Amino acid sequence: MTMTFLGSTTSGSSFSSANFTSIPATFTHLQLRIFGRATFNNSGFNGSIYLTFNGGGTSDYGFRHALNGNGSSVASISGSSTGVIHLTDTISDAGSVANVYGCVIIDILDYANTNKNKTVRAIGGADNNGTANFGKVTFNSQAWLNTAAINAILVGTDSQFAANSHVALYGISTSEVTGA
Amino acid sequence: MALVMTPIYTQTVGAGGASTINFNNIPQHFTDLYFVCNYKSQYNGWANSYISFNDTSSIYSATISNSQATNSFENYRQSGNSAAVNGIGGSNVTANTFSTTFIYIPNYTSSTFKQIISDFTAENNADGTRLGMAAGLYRSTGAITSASFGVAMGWAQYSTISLYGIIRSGA
Repeated sequence: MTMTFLGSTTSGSSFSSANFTSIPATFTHLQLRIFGRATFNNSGFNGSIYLTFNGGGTSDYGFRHALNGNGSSVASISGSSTGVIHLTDTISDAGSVANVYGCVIIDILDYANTNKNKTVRAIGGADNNGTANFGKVTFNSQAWLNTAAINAILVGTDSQFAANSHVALYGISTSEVTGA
Repeated sequence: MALVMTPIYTQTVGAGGASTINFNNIPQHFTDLYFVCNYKSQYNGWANSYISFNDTSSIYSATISNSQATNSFENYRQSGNSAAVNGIGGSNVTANTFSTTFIYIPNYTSSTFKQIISDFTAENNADGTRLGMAAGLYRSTGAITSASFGVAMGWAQYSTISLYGIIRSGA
C-alpha cells in the first residue's frame, strides 16, 4: 500500500478550516484531496485554497504561479506571496450553481527532506454546468521557502468551506531500492 | 476497476551530482509506469529534461506546452534520441528549490508505440517559472525494461525520482 490515509475533515455544516497536526515524517510525499465549495462569492472566480505549514509566520512563502482555462481562454498568473500557499481558482464558491463542488489534488513532494524547500503542486477545478465565468480548471505551483520538515498543515478557503466539503490527507511511501 | 500502485525504486542523487538518473531491470508484470520527480539541474538556466528507454536511437518525439510567466506561453515540438518531458530549473532558481514532474507511461510492455504523458512545475521565487504539460512518443514496439533521465549539466545533489508500477485489474 503506497497511500496511507492520515485524516480528514468534513461536516454537515460549514467549517472554517481543516487542521492536520503531528504529521509523521515517515512518508516520502503528502497528498491532499479536497472536495470543496467556499462560502464566499468571488464574483467570477472560483474559490481558492490556502495552506499554512507548521503554524509558522508568513515570510517563507514564495511567488505564486498558476495556469488556468475557463472554457474560452487560457491565462497564466504569477504573483508575489500572500503569506500562505495560495492555490487560486481550485474549488467552487458561493456564486456557483447550488450543490456544485470543486475538486483539487495537492501534492507536497519530499515534505520531510531537510535539504529542500517544499514545492506544492495542485491540479483542480470545477465545472458549473457550462456557465461562463465560473467554470475553471487550474494548475498551481508555489514553494514554501523553508527546509524544515512539514509536521502540520492548516487548510483554509475563502471565508469557510460549505457544508459537506471534504478535506483528506494521505501519506505516500516509496521504496529505497538503489542501484537499479 | 481496481488500481494498485506499487513503489519499485527511488533514486537519490548524491554529493557532486550525477549526469543521468537510471532505472534498470524494470519489472514486467505491471500495466503502467509512473515516475514522481523532485529534481533540479546543475545548469544555470531553464532546461528540458529528457527520458530515454532501452533503445536510444532517434525514435523519440514530444510536444510541450507551458507557461513561463504572467500570460507568457510556449509551445514547441522536439525529436531525437530521447523525449523531453518538461522544462525545469537549475542554479538559476531559488536555492534549495526543486522542480516537480509526474510522468505516466501506459502499456509499457505492449507491442505498440509508447506514450509518455507528463505535467510539470519548475518552482522559483520570482515571476519566471515553468508550468506545463508534455506528451511524448517512443516509437518502439519492445517492452520498456530500462529508463534514463538526462538534463543539461547533469542533476543536482538531493534530486530524487521514484518509480511506481501500476496494475489495472478488472475487479
